[in-house]
Amino acid sequence: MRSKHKKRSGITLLSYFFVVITIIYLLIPLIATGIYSVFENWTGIIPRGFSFQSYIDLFQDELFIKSIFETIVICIVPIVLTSFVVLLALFATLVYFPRFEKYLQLICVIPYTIQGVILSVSILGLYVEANGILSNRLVMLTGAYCIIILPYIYQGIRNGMQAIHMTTLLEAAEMLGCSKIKGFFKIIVPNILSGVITSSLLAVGIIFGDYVLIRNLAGSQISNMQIYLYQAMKTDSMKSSAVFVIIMLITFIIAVIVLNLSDKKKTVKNTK
Amino acid sequence: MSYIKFKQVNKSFGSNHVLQDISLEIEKGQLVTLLGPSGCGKSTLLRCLAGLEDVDSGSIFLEDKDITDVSPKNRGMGMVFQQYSLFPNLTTFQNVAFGLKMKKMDKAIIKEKVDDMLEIVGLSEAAKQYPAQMSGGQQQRAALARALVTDPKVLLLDEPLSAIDAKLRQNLQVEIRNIQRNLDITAIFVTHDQNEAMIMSDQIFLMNNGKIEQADSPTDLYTNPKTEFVASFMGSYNILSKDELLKAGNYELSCDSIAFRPEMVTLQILEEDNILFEQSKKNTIENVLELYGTVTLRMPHGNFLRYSINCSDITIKVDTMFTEGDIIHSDTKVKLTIPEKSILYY
Repeated sequence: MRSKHKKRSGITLLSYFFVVITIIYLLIPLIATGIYSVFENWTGIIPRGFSFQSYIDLFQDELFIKSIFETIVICIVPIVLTSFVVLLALFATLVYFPRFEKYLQLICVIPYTIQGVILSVSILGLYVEANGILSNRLVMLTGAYCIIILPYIYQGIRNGMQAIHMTTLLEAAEMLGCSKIKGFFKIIVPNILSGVITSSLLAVGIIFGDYVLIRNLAGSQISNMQIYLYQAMKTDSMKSSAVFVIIMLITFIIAVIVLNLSDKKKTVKNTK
Repeated sequence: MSYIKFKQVNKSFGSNHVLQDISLEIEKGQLVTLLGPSGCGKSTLLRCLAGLEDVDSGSIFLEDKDITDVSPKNRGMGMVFQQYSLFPNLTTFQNVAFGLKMKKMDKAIIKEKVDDMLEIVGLSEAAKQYPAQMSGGQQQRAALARALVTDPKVLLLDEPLSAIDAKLRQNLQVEIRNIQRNLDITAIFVTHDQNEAMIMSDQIFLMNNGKIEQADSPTDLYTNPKTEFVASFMGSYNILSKDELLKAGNYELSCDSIAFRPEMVTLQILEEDNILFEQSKKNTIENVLELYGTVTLRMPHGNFLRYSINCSDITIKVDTMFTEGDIIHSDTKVKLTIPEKSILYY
């Protein structure tokens, strides 16, 4: 009995050890970048010349503020658009044509296999000479982001729907005098919101980290934080470290806010 | 005049003909049970009445109006599902109020009606709880309240108690029956449990392979099953074919088979010297059917004991009251006597 207990505590210690090692491994580059961004000189072992000057410069640079704003906008539009389209497509498929769901899944998973360069070149080839709104670079970029994040959004929403027995809930709503589409938005959507939020966060991460698509499709018209970072890396390494830290912080803050919102709802519903 | 009427209703899923020419009538204010084994079509029939499944042919009437093509939300029926199907994002109060909100009722009236209904089902104190915070029994009562609060013309219950433990199930059976009687509502209950059907129903429609085998009151269905299937499904009847009866007791039959209930058999322990296992001449059933056998198994079933008796390799079930002094042990030789009036011929 005692040896079993000893063995178990040994395993627990070992798992803690691996978790700590992994955390350190993941955090070291972030911490080092953070330190580097607040010291003017780090040629020896100990960095020297502590200063927030690069951060002050960044927030005084209109281009940087514009890049943050544009990154957030270019991030929100495709996520909202894709989530809405996938929600409607899944509603129509699961309620009216359940046999076609496998084809929808196949279509939605294909973008996993497409690389950014190939996607941007293909989109340019297809639409650059098209007339009207389709040849607009921002529309192209939004469309490209919609394709890239499609598998993540689809899987998040699909998993959420599977977890709540969507068809039976819709039938119950229908028996209470509610139409299918009204029932979907009143009952199903609120119940899969946490799944939608989680997949949206993944999509935020992907779009925040994009350089290839935006550079190829709309580099001259829009400058997101990755493009700003790339420019900064060419001129000032301390400044580029500061940009990197700010990107990380913004992503972290968005994740915390969104997860907090969905967790609050969950806690209210699951408190026994 | 019947309240609900099915007229030659047919429904298939692919090559599976689930409902075959179903015609039945239900009176107002009754609690009717659709009973049968899994896959017999009882839930499909209920879903056709609810409008959740389209029928391939035939018609469904409610109060003499053809509702075959009316959408579920306009049929005015309430339904309780097997898995409760309460909306997880709404509290009990909001769940019950949902149907009234859809009818665009005044807020004050909604509150009054929901409060009344929650009191009827004993959930007033759980009004602010979410489904995940309630027990299975509470969730089922909330689902019942949600279905009843809109004053439906018919209450449909699709195996609502199958996910609930035995004791709570018995309580809810009584509760549902009482509520149905007090509100004088027509209810259709689907179950595969014959005991549940016997306890709750005014009338039982016993289904098999997409057809109605027998429609009768619980007592008539139990005491006078019209087919072998009904006999085997309803009362653990002993069913013996012509050949089996010949083997078990050397009896000759002019029909295909006979059936008798286990509790109608009288057991008598045989002394060694009056054992009569082999009967030389062929018998016919007159006043009684007499068989001889050996006790092979004894199982307590609550307040009665069920014996398995081996009569020339044919097993006969016999039920006796569970009294300590009268227990018959395994391998005891016994005589079985079945009065002729208890025997059903098919």
